[in-house]
Amino acid sequence: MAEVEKILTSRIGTKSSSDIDSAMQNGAYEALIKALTKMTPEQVLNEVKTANLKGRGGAGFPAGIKLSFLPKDKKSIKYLVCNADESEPGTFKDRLLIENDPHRILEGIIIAAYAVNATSGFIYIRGEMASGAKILEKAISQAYERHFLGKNIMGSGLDFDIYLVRGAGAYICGEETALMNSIEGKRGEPRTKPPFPANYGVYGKPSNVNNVETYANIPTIIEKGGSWYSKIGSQDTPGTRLFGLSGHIKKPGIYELKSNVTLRELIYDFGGGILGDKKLKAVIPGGSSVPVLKADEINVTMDIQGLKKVGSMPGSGGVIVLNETVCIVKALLNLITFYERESCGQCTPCREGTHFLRLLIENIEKGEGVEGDCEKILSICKNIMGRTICPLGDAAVMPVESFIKKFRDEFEFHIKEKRCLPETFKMTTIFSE
Amino acid sequence: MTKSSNELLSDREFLRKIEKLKKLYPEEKSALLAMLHLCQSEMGYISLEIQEFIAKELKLSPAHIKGVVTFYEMFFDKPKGRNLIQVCRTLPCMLAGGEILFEHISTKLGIKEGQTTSDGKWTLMTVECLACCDKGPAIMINDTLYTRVSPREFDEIIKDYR
Amino acid sequence: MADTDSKGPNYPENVKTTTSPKETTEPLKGKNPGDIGATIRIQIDGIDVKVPLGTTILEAAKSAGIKIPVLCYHPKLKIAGNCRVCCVEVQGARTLQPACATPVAPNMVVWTSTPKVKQSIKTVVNLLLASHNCDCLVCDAAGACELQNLAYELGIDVRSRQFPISCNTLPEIDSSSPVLQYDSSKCIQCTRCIRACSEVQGKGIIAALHRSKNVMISAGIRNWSDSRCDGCGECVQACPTGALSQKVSPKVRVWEARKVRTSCSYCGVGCQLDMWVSENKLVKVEGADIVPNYGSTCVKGRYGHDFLNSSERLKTPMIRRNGVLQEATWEEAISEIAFKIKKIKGEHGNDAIAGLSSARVTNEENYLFQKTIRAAIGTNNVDHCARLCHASTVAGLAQAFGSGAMTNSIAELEHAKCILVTGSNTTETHPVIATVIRRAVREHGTKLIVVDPRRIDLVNNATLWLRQKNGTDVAWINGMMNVIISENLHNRTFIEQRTEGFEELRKIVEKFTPESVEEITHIPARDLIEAARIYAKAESSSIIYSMGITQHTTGTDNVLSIANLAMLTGQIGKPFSGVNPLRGQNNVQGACDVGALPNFYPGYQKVSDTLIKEKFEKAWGVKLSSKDGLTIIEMMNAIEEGKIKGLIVMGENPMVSDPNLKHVEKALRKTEFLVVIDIFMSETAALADVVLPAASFAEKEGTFTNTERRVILLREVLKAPGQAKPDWQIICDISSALGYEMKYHNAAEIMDEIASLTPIYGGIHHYRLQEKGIQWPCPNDDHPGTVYLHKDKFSRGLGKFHPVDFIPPDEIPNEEYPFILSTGRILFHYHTGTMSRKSVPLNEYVATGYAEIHPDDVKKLGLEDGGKVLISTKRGKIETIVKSTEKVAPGSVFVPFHFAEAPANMLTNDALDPIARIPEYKVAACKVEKPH
Repeated sequence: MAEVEKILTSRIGTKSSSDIDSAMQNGAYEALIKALTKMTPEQVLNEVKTANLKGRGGAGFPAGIKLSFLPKDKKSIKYLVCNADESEPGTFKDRLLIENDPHRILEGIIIAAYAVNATSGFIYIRGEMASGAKILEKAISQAYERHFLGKNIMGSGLDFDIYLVRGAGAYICGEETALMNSIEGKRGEPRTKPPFPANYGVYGKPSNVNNVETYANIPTIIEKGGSWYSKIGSQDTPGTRLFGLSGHIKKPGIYELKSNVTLRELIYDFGGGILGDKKLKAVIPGGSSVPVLKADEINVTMDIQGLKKVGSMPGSGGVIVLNETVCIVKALLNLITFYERESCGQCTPCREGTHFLRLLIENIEKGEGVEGDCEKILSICKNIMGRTICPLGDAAVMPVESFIKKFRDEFEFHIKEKRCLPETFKMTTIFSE
Repeated sequence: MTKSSNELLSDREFLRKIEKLKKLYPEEKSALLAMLHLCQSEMGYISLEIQEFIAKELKLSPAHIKGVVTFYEMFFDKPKGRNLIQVCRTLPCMLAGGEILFEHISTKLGIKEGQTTSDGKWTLMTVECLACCDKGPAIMINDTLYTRVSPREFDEIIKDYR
Repeated sequence: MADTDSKGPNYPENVKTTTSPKETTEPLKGKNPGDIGATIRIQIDGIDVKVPLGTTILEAAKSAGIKIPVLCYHPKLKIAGNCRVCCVEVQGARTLQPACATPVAPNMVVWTSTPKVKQSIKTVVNLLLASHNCDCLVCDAAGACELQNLAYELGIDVRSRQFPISCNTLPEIDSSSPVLQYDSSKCIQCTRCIRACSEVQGKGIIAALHRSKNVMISAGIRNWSDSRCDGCGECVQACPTGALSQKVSPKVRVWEARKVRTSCSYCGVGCQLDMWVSENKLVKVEGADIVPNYGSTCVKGRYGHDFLNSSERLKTPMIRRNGVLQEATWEEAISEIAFKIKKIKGEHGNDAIAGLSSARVTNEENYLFQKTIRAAIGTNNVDHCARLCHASTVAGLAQAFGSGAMTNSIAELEHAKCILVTGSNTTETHPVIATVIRRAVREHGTKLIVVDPRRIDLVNNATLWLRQKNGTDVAWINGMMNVIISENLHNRTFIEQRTEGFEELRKIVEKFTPESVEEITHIPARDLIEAARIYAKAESSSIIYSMGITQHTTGTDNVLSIANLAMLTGQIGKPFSGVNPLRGQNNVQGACDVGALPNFYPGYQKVSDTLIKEKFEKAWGVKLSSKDGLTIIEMMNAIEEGKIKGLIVMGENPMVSDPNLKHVEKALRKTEFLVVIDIFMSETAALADVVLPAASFAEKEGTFTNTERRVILLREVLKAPGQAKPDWQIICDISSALGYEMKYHNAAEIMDEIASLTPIYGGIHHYRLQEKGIQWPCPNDDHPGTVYLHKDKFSRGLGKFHPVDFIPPDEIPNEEYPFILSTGRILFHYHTGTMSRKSVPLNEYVATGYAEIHPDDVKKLGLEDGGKVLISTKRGKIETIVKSTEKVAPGSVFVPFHFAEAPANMLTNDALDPIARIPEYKVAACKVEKPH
């Protein structure tokens, strides 16, 4: 089984774990003290590298290597950014960490700051997470009180401040360069790369952006060692992952598991099976932006290698389950509407492409589709994929392409019959039972 | 909650907060979003006069402020109702029954998306994924999140609002 | 690449006019991202291309002659990479790469027209077209629209459109600006306008609004005019489609018009313009992408030329008969002039005639004018309005350095580490130079120090703003030098090797401690010290000044002080550093250069120097007067005294421009015979006995010399209206009629004559000026011109320090006249308004005169913003409109001088600088009150 010693959620569920005292009773900041008192910055960075910690925001880039892109000197201004703009449909793990164990996140950021001599850090939290922002704000001020932040932290010589920035409703700000623009008080428009954030980030200074969950792994890595960590679970994504189950599933929620858990285990063993005891129709395994899987493609592990076999990827770990009552055209229309609305509007393929994809899919859904629409949609997809400034274009295309390729019959049925499949007339909801 | 531009601009406490926000971040301009949040919480939206005021404070083009206000969905440049209901419309909530809930709310309040009730009490909007997909359907009323909201529960919830 | 334009022979390093990256970590810029690193080899479409590392694929392809389509890319702007039209295949890359934003890498293999690439371009253009309001039939941009051209090249007809049209509801056009309009239905969100406004103009007014499909742009938050937009039109020129367009539709297709390159006549910057004409009508004006303006213009240059086609243009000669000006033939007018001038000469002698030449007309015309006055009439009584602007510069810098002109080039400003602007409201008077300064600050981190009594626009970009009391310039400059010497920041080596007179200077500035200077100037000592440190310590510091320094009774002293400051710190004679007086009028530099001055022959060769006189006598074949002539104000006095009887005025309007107008009018009315050559019936022409219609700058050939000493060409864009002719032809006619035969085939021939007699213009000929002009000194035909002056050696040998003590202004506020009055120009109008006030859009911006008064004073005096105010001095009074603004300090008033109906110069003081004979326009004591 994929159950494992909890790393990220070990303190969650204990009483008031967002408070620094109770968190410290359960080991918070011990790793930081260890790093500051017993390790050199290079050693800290090496542990993170050895752990082979992969970014948990969706792209899965090795966090240690990303940190090491920052200039090595001690003098220049460097910023660490924690991406808490969780908005990927189907993803709700960061909210759990922020609201229940903010000190784990702060500790991870401060340790990373020590490793790369960062001057200050930003936590960019989604505007809609008002309560999460309050919790973080309190946690930050508590950390200052205990001298885990500020000048000469714990006498180590490290000066480090954390600023909390609240977003204001824009999915795109989860993209690292859009997020940096937003921190600077600008529109959340992604920047053209190069230059890359490691050279030209916040205020044009070298910066490093990592996801909440990524930072939250760092204390344990320092505590138990990178090589210990690297041996947990799958080799391509070591450690545990926070999988979020949602949609037509009996026991939705967050599960901390090894990354080589299979999708079938996740749905049936942990999630308790399909809502309404209906047949499984489709699963989106890693947040809305990854290719969808059909019911017969769930016998794969949830790591990079496993999902690659069925043409998808682990993404952000958000698993959305769709049972047989879901009209696949309607589900896709829901998603593409999301991407159209959330496109920043900067580059043509994304701004115009998502718009016309939505129009075409909407036509099909309304029964106004014509023959050839699927081909047209796929052709637009092909010309958005890889042509946009940021990954939002790809993110919009991957569900569209995969939905159409895997459920082509249902799309053609809509186009020909101008209606939904009979079994999708009444969709299961939590109110159905 | 619903001060006029002039009231706000002569409110010393507000001006003091703006000054404080200016010094909050390594660079002044980073305070823009925070300032806009503040203004919106004070007057319910961000009037053009307030946008001009902030432009002056941060030495930016007023159009830049408007560009930011209109980019982020949480900011409103026109007055809205006293309370804002945002219903998540994204897939996981939809699968949980979000559409049923939205229909209910819309019928109950007699307004469509983007509209405000005639008594100025409610404005109804949809919102994209609120990151609580396991507890859909989710809605936010002002800053408060409600999860697993059934139509009946919604009727109960709104009783607390004036 | 166009960058080489600003490179001169004596540049030790490249000087670029647009931004280039300092380090690889900065975002890629449009221009020259390639000075970084070694040359590498890549392959594009099978062709080997060698380019410097850091070049983008797009530029590399361009250098190999391979065209990659672009929309959002603009060579002057930073890379946005948002249109995605330029995506190409790079071998080994997972996806297509935007050529504009992708730097080349060694051994890169690029394919620009594979089926995949073609499909990609087609899709993007199809997407854009589906959302675009394709009303090309009636769109002004048709033929010049980059989207239209691309669709045409790709052969996308209606049948092959891939997507349903998605622009059914058309938004309203924002036409609130006086000069431009924005139609969001034609906007392709390329952000070129936003970048142009921010990166090129340094204004940053335009921003994008909304998101996703709804993205549009705006300058204001309500509409366009609700903003600080001053209508320069950089955005319109940058727009690839018809989204941003000139407000007044020319109703002429681009292919029906022809483009003529010429020089702008609206100020001393000398912007190169591309004027589009059709059937002798001006269609539109664009900034030419070449030195000195590189595509930029100001609102006047781009939109203020409708006066050319004005029905009020003078079209026939006129002679005053029975007190009324009546139409006449050229023959009648010329013989009338010859008769009267000869008569006065005969009765009162040669010196009873004087001529006012013009800073508005060409070098050739100024040369012929002074030649006529000197050779045909036989007097040196020739002057022009340079007397009223930079006479003190010419005098002061000649004493200190040996020649009086901008030491550096406009382009150099962008790379100066420190710029000190004093007495120049650059944004309004030299708008395009202001953009260079703002760019220096915004893009290169240049430290800007502004010293000005008014809160001018550049204060917004300044590191430091010192607000001195009007007329206390010598004090603060001496104060800065005091700090520099006491802190040991002066450049000893430079002082020792290149200058003389340092000891005397040291002595005089000793008493100007920051504290004592604070008392005189009201500049806080702390700020003065800071300014001194920044200026002295910077690797390169450039001083920019203008009328605020020169138009004082101590004008020459002020200029000498500035020269002292530059020499003390060695901030002169090297790139990016120097003393840069901005010349106000389009050809004020040239008019001085070619001898429209009472004491100088062309090239600042002294009238009093016998050898020089002999040279000119030989060349011109006549005996010449060795007596210095009279300056403008002296001429007016001499007329009043009855010593001067006849006056010839070419293209000047002393009835508005000169100080103490009452006196001027009295004088002009007293002349026995007044000839005015002009393009409009100016206030001065209305008093004349003979009025001759001249061709405007756009209707003739010739040259101007801009403020950076660059001799630039004028070309004939339009035919002159009616019988109007170029001034040079008119002068030839007058001279010949006076018995001194003057005949030239064209302006080029005149310039050849100038070159033969004027060492600094020795190598200047029209054929050499075709593209980008030449900066004097240019002693011979092989000389490429001089980018900055005084390298290694000053024109006079050693630079000379002149100890200058502080003298208060001639008039200080008193009980009766408690306010300080200052006058000057504004952006939307030019000089006496003869041209700009005939322009419809310019008058939509500002139609009437006004007085800037501090809000506190407005309140105190019971005035109202927009209400009337009476301003009076010892010399006269005017009624005008109150403009309540914190731009002026309390106790000060500023009145623009363009408006004849409320003429500021009714008030100004004609007290003169003892050396340069320049009047004190900038300080007068005045009374401000509510009209009774």
